[in-house]
Amino acid sequence: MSANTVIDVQDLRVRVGAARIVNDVSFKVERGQTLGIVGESGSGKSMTVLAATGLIDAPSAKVSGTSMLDGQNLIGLRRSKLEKIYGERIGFIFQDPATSLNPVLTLERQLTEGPEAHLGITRRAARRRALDLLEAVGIPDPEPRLAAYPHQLSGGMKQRVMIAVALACDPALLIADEPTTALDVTTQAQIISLVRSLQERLGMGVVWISHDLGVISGVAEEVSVLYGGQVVEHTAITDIFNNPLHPYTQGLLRARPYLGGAQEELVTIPGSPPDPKNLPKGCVFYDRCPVRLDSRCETELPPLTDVGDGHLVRSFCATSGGENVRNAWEGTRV
Amino acid sequence: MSEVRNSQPANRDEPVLLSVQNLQVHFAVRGAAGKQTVHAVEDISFDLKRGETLGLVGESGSGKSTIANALMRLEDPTGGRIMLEGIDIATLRGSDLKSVRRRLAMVFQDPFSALNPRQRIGLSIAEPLVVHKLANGGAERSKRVRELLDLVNLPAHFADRFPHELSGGQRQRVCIARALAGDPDIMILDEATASLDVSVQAQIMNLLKDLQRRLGLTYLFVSHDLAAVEYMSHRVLVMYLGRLMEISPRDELYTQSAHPYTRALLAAIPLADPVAERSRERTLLEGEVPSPLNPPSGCVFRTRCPIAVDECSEVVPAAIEVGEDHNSACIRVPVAQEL
Ligand SMILES: Nc1ncnc2c1ncn2[C@@H]1O[C@H](COP(=O)(O)OP(=O)(O)OP(=O)(O)O)[C@@H](O)[C@H]1O
Ligand SMILES: [Mg+2]
Repeated sequence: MSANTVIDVQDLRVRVGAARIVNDVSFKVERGQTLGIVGESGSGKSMTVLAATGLIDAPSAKVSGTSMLDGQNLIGLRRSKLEKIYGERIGFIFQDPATSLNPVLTLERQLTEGPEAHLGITRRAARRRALDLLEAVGIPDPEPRLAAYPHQLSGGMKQRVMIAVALACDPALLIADEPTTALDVTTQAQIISLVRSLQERLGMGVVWISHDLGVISGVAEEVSVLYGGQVVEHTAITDIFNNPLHPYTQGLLRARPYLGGAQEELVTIPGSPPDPKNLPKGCVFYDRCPVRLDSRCETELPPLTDVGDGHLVRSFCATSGGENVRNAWEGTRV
Repeated sequence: MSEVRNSQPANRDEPVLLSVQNLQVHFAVRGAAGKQTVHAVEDISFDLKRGETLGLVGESGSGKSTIANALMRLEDPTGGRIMLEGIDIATLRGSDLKSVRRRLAMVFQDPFSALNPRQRIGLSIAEPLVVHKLANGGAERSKRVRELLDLVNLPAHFADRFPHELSGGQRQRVCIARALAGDPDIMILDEATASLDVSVQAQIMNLLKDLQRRLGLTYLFVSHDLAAVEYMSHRVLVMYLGRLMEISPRDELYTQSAHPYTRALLAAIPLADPVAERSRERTLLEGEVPSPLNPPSGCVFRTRCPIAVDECSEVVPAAIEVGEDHNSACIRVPVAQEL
């Protein structure tokens, strides 16, 4: 693990009863870098980061693998130690600010509590910090806002305050789980540019989860594509757009309209994602794949293979399917 | 512009099917300051031509759903007219309203709450047939339900299923089938694909396009997703805080918008090209949408507009013609075009 690695997750698995939600997911995040995780609903995006940060503690959920941060494995770590780590090292922002803002505390309290406890600074210093943070997240004239409660803010404002709270202790790692999904595009653009500029200033590592490759294109340096709880492809952000290898990634890119996209017909991936209680034996995408090969795709789980320059892909079609695999969806329709 | 895009049918010469004139919808609310008025929709006019798709975009709270609901008469307009081939449906009541209602159908965002969970799919789809007395007897009804299921590419045996046995995309197909049951001319699609996963969204958008071609349907496609609107629409209407900002044929809107708000919206959409996305020069809108209880005087966008001048607070700008079929409600069109 290099000195710059903020979090290193290996072989993460999550099972809830018979459902295999996360299957053998590994990733690393470096200081100042953003890893994008994309996938559709049910692909295991949120469960991956919740498990990696030790946040899944339901007795029915079984988590295995390692997730190293500051030399400690977060998986299976005692609650009290985890809480200290959340306070000092990891910030979270979610789609719904209601889940991380406390409705009965003023903004001042929410913004000063962490720093007072974890950075050992005085209340006055914490208050000054809170004002700086609110300003940094684009809340003009923050002084009178300190006494406000979350319900007195608009959706976009709440999102900003949540970011301020997440950053209050200068975290090494920021987990952003669909933080802009519920927002309008104009607010989304504000939040994206805000997180990027704060990241430049503070050098934190970010894991940004989204179902929208467009958003990921604006925030991430590297991206993992999740499907059926597995990483099916991982590579540099430019590569995902210019040279996607997994038929699922290609389909995802062509199923979505883009601005000025000049598409007459979107690719439609037939069927729907697999049921985690009943994952296929071989390739997770087998049922829906337009270029699946032979019985091997059906019966054997393809390994996540490096095809060069750290471009990883989990697909027999992509690693041994020849040229036609670059255009898996050519000629398919509805 | 590619050739592919031009293969969209030109609808300029099609007859007007529905003409919305100076539509206004106000809601009376009781707040801390006593009785107040929500200016949800203010002086909106547009035509729907037969066989076209008009995209309706705007941020949350801009009044898109209120327009959709007013056209369906789920909400009563407080002003203006909604002319359906010469009849003002804004004020119709009783059986007149019922007979006109068959001609418009609506599909909502959430296919989970739109279907009765205790009712088999076939029965849900048949509802409009019963309401509008469009089928004689059970056999004819079942036959029509099978046809409708087939139209939306679902197998006939789905008629016997319950909503919970279906995926989100399948349920949305059922909602579309039900909307088609009354054989409407106009379909109002209010965020009809918004709650679906990307791959499923594409299935539904393609299905809608396909149905339009086959059945000659006219769509009002309401969405906050400008890329989806671009994909679906022939023309696009952009609104902000209850008012029309710009209305234009699609390609002109996306390439030569003449309104600062449309330009700001387009600038906010992430590009699919990470290199271009990061190097792009753009001005992001600051601040937030003002309250519809007390919209700004003059142009409602002026408080966030990068090119506003004093005059903008004085009069509500008229939608002036800036090109064929292309209108912009801005007094600084030449400056806006340079943004
Ligand atoms: N029944 C109602 N009573 C009072 N205010 C209402 C009512 N319905 C809508 N509004 C208000 O009217 C305005 C327009 O709302 P509308 O739902 O039409 O927006 P929208 O463009 O559809 O937004 P979204 O993208 O969030 O669906 C909003 O300010 C909303 O709060
Ligand atoms: Mg709406």
